[in-house]
Amino acid sequence: MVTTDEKGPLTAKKKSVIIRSCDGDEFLVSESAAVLSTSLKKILEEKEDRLIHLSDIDNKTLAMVIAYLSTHADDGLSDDLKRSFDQEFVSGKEFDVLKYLVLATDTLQVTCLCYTVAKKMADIMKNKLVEWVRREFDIQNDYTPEAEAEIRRLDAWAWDDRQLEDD
Amino acid sequence: MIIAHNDDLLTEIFLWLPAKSLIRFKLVCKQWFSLISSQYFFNRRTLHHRRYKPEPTLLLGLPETSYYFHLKFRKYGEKLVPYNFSIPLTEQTILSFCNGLFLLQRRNVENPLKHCQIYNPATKQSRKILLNINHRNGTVMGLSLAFDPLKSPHYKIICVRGARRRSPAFWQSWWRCFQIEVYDSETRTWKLSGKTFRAPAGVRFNQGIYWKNGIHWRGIFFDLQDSLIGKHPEIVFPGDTGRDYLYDNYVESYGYLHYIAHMLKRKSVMVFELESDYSQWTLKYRVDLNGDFGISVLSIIRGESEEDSALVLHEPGKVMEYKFEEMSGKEIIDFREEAFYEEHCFQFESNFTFQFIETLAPA
Repeated sequence: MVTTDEKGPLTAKKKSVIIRSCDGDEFLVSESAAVLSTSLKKILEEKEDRLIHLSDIDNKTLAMVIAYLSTHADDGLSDDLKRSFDQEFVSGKEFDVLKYLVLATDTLQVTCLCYTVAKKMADIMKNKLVEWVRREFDIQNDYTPEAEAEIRRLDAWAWDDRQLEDD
Repeated sequence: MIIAHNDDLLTEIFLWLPAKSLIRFKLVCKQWFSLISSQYFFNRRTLHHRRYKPEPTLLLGLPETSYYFHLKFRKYGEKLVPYNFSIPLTEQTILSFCNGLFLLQRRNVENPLKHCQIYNPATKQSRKILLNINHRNGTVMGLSLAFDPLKSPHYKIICVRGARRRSPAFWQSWWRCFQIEVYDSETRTWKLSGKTFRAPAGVRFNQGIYWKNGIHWRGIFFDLQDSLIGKHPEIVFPGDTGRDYLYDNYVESYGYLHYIAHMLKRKSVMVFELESDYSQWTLKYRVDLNGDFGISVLSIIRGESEEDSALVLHEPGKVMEYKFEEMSGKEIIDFREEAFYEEHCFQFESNFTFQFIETLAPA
């Protein structure tokens, strides 16, 4: 599958690159959008190759990142519009989707998207129980029951809150 | 999931979390505990808050009780949220609050004063600090706290002492001699700082406010950098303001030092701002208040832009904000249904109102 980015047909002046996700889908992206990612920029500077293969970003996540990069590379959009796009971009997204997105922004080094996604994740996490966090991040509790009780005792106030959610 | 052990990514997420969540998440696993407790994360979080200031909130205390309430802005019509301290405030009195740390003193003053206490309401950590007793420099006139996480993770306590009495006349004269002693949490020691200085006997050294690496009292300040005492410029009221009953105080908000003068007869409030080079107090806002029962001024909230700036007002049973730009008041809280409400009383006071923020700094 070859997808053109939202800027319409490519002209001869506008260079573009093809980015392939780990599940094999290919995306045609303008170079101006690709270079917003620090790691793609480096790859493009180092080699002539117009095909970049990303072995750890899936098709769904990559499509979202590219939509983001294309919007931010569009000179026709005002900063205000881009800001509201950012808001829209993360609103309503599942925590699971955000996790893959934040990892992708780390691989591709897209700082501003990383900020936006991290903020949204924090927003979802802030009133959650520790158990919820462990589940979502797939973390094993490595405290002994005694150590856990001791920490809970020291910071008891942080738990005396009935507004915490587990879903 | 790889994020769980990627400190860089976790840091990016943690930066947006409030202190309370962070402290809870120390329990997730040992790695999270050490990241959240690290000096690296503390520094990053401090810098982060310089760029993305958290929403302003106030802590309102009911004098003579241990009740404190957390007041958030831009949420109207909500109830006052009680703020629970983990240490009994019935025995303590708040001397100052500075960027997330409290300086407390026992309510029944011992003579001579032997110790004070630093308390971080976010981490609930506290530490008792002994004062120099048998000090050759006499009575403690006031203690103030200086803490700016953007400058240093350590805090200082500024103690003003009435300098050694030379003759009984000292206590009667209008000008008195003082000496400053500074406690540094890094070295955990007290040191005399600067020379003795003379100041009018009326300066309330127990009401110092931290601003720009100095402690500011009415009319004078102590610069921590150079250990020097300086004088504030004169406050010049506009020509049309004659004598009036004044209720006034200093309030710091968002990096600005204000002198707020409430003229009771005229029902008008003037807010002066001290220029950062100390050259003059500039009249920044002037507000005419109308109200049947009268209104008191609790505090001022400043923000990034003018539209965020507001005066926080109080009338019996209510707390309001007056936005300077919109030139209109709006009710934030109506607490007339609360058990503690008393009719016709100004239950909250500016001296018990603090610009609240949380910090992870150690006490």
